[in-house]
Amino acid sequence: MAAPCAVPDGNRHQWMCAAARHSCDLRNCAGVALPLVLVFAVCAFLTASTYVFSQMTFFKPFLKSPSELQALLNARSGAWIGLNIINSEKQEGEASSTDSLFGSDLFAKTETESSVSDSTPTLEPGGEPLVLDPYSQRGFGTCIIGLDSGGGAFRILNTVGRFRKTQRALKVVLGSRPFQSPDTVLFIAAPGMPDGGGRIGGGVFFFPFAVDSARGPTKRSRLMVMRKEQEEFITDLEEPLMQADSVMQRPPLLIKSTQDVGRVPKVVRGPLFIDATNQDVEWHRKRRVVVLGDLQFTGEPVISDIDFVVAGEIRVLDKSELTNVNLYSRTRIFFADFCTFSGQAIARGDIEIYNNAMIVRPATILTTGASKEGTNKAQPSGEGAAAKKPKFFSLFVRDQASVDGVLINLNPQHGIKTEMETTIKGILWAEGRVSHTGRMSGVIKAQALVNEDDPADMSKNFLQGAITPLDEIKDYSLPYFIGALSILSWKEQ
Amino acid sequence: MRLWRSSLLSKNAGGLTLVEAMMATVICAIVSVFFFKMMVAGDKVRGRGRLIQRAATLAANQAEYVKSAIGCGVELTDTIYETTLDNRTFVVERSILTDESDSVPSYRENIQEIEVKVHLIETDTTLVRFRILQGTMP
Repeated sequence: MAAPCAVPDGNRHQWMCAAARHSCDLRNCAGVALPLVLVFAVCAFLTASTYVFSQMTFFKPFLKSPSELQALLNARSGAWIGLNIINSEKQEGEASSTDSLFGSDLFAKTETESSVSDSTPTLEPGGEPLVLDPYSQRGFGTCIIGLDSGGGAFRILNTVGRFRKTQRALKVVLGSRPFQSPDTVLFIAAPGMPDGGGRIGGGVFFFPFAVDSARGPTKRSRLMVMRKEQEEFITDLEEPLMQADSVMQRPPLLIKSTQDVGRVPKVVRGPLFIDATNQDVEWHRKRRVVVLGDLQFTGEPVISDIDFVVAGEIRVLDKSELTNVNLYSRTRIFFADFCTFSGQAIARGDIEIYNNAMIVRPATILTTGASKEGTNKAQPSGEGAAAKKPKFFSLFVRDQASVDGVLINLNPQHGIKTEMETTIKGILWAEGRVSHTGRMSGVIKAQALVNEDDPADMSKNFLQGAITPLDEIKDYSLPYFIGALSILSWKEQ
Repeated sequence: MRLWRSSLLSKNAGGLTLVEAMMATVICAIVSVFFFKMMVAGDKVRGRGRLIQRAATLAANQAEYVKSAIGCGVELTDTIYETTLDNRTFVVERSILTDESDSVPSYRENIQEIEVKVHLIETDTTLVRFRILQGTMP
């Protein structure tokens, strides 16, 4: 109970009195307990909730991580399934294979395969993606597999792995890596070890000469060229030219500086000359340019990431520097002087690499050797111009040129010719003949090695140049229409 | 508030009643139990999250090994091993699954199906379980 305040007047005493009264009220605050307890209860609830919420926030991602991992594994599984589907598709091709499985499908599992093939899903470039259960047991999610229509000479497989609410994507580049071991340096069909005094620093493998195309469609094998896919590949490259073909040609478009680059349209209706003789020309942009005339690089232009689809000739001259550039010519391609090139160069006619031109990795130089004579406008000096004489070669490496990459000639009647002072690293792949007199490390695959003075004779092998093994030969890849496909690279997104 | 408090003071001038004290005690007890349960739940979430994350890390390592094995030409077989991570010992099991049935889809022919499981050494309860396919390069 509060005592009455008997303190005399005065401010100090009044204050003390008030304080005393106040303390008396606290002691008499009966009934405040419940609200106080409720307040503390709410505080405790908030504290506990905050704690739990923070733990959930920080550690929920950890609980999710297994889902993300399974989704990624589903995407990877999808890549293997996609590769399996593509390699299992029966192809019209030339089974000039060194495989141990060569011809095995003639004898084994014929019925099974034919019965299964009807239900086998197929992958078409740019087609509808497949949604599959990758595993024998359900509940681990699904994978979606689609084949990209881009990718040039390589296939791009996109897969998406799904597990519960999470999904992961994967981009896989597919190509062919037929040579895994550096030990064997020559793959040839013509019998007998090569004459001519050439130096062979590795093993020689003789594969069957006969092309078993009469047997009908077969599965992909290591050294097989899928003619149908090759034709489709060229047709796809030709498509933008076909679309613009009827348009009347205009005068040459001359690009003389970096500022001029912006003037280049998507379709150049005439020749395109990029001349960096007096001013710098730098052009780094991922785009495609269709040229209805010739394309010529002179001076010191620096160009990267561009695809040129050209109806006429392509001439890469002087000190041109082309990096990760894709070139397609309906006729011919020339790399000359001190130019540097990496990327894909595909021509339907001749390809000549001469003077001090340098082809650097990653590079794929491919000719189908099928260009019509009439389409060749300019006639350069050398064998490529010999229209009257029977033609044996359509891919030439001359002078002091050097190549680090893959050279391919798909014409069985033609071949690849390398001259004495050239340096080559990588793969020479000819469906016909090869005349090699330069220095090379890597692998040559051809029907026959021929003497440059008597290239018609394919009954025996003749080698004047040197060839030595290349340790990293398995890193050199071929386009998707040659051999069985492998995974060249993964990109997890 | 002030009005409510003054009315409360005027009506309960006799001090804390027994009922009030009992109610306060009961509420405090309920709140305390709830509070501790929440704390325990939070700790469990954290502990479980860490455990799952470690197990997933070990499984991811195994998945990377499986992926790289193809490049090295290593033939994969069943394997089981123990490993210690942050003072906890885990058991990692990798098994190659064989489908005896004839119903293997054609697109999965010649592809290995692999299961990776991780559990703590002291319990058999699987923390994480994954499946992966591994093909071969031609």
